[in-house]
Amino acid sequence: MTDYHKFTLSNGLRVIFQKDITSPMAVVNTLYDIGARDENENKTGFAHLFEHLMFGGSVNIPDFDGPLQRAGGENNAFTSNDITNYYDVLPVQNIETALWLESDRMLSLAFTPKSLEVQRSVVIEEFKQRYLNQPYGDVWLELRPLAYKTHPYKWATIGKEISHIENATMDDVKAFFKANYKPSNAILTIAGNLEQAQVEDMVQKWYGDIPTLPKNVRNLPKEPTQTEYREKTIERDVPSDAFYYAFKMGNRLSSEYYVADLMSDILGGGKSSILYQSILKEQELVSEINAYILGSLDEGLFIVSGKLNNSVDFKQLGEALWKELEKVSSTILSDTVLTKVKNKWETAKVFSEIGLLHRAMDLCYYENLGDASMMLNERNNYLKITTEEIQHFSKKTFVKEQCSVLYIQSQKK
Amino acid sequence: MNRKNAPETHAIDSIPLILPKVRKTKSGIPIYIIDETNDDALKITLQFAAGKIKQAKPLVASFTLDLLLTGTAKKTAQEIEESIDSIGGYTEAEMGMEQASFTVFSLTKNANAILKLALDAISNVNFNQQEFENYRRRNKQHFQVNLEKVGTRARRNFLSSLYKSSPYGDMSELEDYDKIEATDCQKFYNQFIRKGLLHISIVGNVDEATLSTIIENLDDWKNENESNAQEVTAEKAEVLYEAKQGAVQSAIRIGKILFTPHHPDYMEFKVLNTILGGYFGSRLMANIREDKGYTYGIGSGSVTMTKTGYFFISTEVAVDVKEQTLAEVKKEITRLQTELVSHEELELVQKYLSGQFLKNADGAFAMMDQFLFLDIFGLDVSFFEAYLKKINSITTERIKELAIKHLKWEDLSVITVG
Repeated sequence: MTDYHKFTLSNGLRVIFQKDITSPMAVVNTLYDIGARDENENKTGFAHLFEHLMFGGSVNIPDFDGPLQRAGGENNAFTSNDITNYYDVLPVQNIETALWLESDRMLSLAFTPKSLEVQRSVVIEEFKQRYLNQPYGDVWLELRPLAYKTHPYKWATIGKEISHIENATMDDVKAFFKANYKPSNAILTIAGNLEQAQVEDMVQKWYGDIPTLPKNVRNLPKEPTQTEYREKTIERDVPSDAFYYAFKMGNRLSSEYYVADLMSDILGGGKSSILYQSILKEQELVSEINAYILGSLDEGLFIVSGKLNNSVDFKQLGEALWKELEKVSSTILSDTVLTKVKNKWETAKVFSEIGLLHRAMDLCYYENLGDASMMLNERNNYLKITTEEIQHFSKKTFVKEQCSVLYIQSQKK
Repeated sequence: MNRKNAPETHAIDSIPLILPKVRKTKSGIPIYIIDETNDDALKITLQFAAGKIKQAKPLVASFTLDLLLTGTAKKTAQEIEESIDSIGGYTEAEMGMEQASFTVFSLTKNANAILKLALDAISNVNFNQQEFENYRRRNKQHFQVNLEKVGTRARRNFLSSLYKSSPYGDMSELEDYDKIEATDCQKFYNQFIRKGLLHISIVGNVDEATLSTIIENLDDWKNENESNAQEVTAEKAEVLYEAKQGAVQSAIRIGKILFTPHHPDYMEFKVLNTILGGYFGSRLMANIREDKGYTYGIGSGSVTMTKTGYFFISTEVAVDVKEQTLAEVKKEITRLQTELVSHEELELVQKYLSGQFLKNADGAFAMMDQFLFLDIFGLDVSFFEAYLKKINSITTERIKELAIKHLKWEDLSVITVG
């Protein structure tokens, strides 16, 4: 289902409507073009903390969740290094409740001291639960600053350290809202069994009077080209040794992005992949091995990660892994291998588009990337890739000078 | 326009549920089909009465299920995986207490070819030694990683406390990994996979050729095992603590054995549970996260199996506020037992649950899940109609009564790790 209608309000809010007659539910998805990469280096974790504060009441409505639940709906949000995304799912007949709530918090927040105080603690517990109290949980806190020296991708969405969250003030919060939460910085997608005219009227009614403010111009420090191999070993109380190889790759709009995505499947996507077959099954060096891309908007990372078997050391793994990477860089893969990952991609794509919510999120995502219509070209972007492009990518990417390696050594051994 | 006033909302009065068509294999196993979909996605699930409670030794059930695609006399694991992957197939195996399932995901156009490969592989699996050993070693490591998590430990301690003298509470230990053999899997497979096929469910535009493939390949698969699911009588509640060095959070599980969907209080208890900890605006969330900031999340729920079920409260909190958290949980339960819920709060929860019910039946995949829920418990659609009616007519007095009856603090086991 790829039909949609797009319009823009005079205050700059971009709106996408997708009609779906098959669902009794409606989705209101709001993407704000603000993520952890836009943070001040001394106040990291703020975009995410702010996401929590967006549920602490808005200028005219003291409670966000209650009225939505009373309308039979539910909501959630997530923050990444690139964007902040909020969504509401509710019975279609009650759609206006979601528009009322979302438009009011785009207009202004209540900024209560209690909300800031509590959400600071909640986010600190989230920090502990997800990053500190899990085996291997702090990998990204360590790997990002190893791979990025200048670009703000060097810190994780949750923030560099807990103290940044502890020190957030109400003035910071207000300034952050003013700078980033405004119609020109947002994209709204509405999906459901509604009429286009009705959607236009409702959006105009609830969002039309939100003041116009100019769209932010992003000017992030660019990551210089990496020219040296980086390696770091940390000791942790974990059951087995783990490794993370991070290779620099192109940004989301480069054609390389699609090649990298398929290449990650060829190397580490599932049991018939190259690294699984060679390093896990034949050589029995690891108990787990994966390859994936982070999918960030700016220049990204291609990751190969896994866990060692007990009698194996990092050196053995390194030799075996580089040997495989050199093989894919120096020879052209068979068409069969490429066709296989394209077929797998197509199946995964079809399943990922099931349901209103995923489609609404995708429409916002692609509009933020440049234009919602880019979503329609995705299939072609993947299917046109050739084995020569795969080899070219491998040759360029899998070199020591582009690589940052994090080893987690088990203290138990 | 007044931004202070909420727009009018409308009640949910009916649930548009499509029931599957039913076909049968030669041995009479039902095939449930929902094919009124408008995309190319096809999902086929084989459901077995082959859950953990069937196993004679720890780990056998999950090993057997996970090794289904690891080779036959004619094909290696690699050949099988390669051939399914090459036409874009995905498979997934899921292990539960009472049941297990094997699912194939594919595009409609490739479904027949993928099923031929997958069904041949699982029909002729030979549990070869090398694949078995590889799997054992890998899984042992995963197990060790999981045991490092306070949440995993608390969940294990919780279930083994609740189900002390029943197979539902049996937890595998590290040494069990060295006691299992490939022949155990072969035996389990022969008895519970080949003779424990409960049903096949299909969501997507399946064609006759694909259906024939299923029917032909599974013609000698049967369902002849008696269920060994048992009713379980509640043990005495326990308070257990396990220390974990270096933990920055404590995991908490609180709960008791409760009931199945056949119990007369089942539907109304959903309302009570939702108020306590079943949604984002619940009392536990409002107090322990949104007021105190002790946790990233806290929730409660009830899990149902065919003959038993349990109620749980689950959270992870900063180690220094563990006792305060327990006191607040107790306080919230006591409030429900001594004070009437306000009509406003009840109305909100009723509308929320109605909306969620509509969402849970949205789309063909969700509808199949709803139908399979009825099927497992031997219920029919009137159950859902009754549910909607019950949750919307419950009184505040009845909620108090249910809290007194089912949530006595002395009856709840309190398990903490960290």
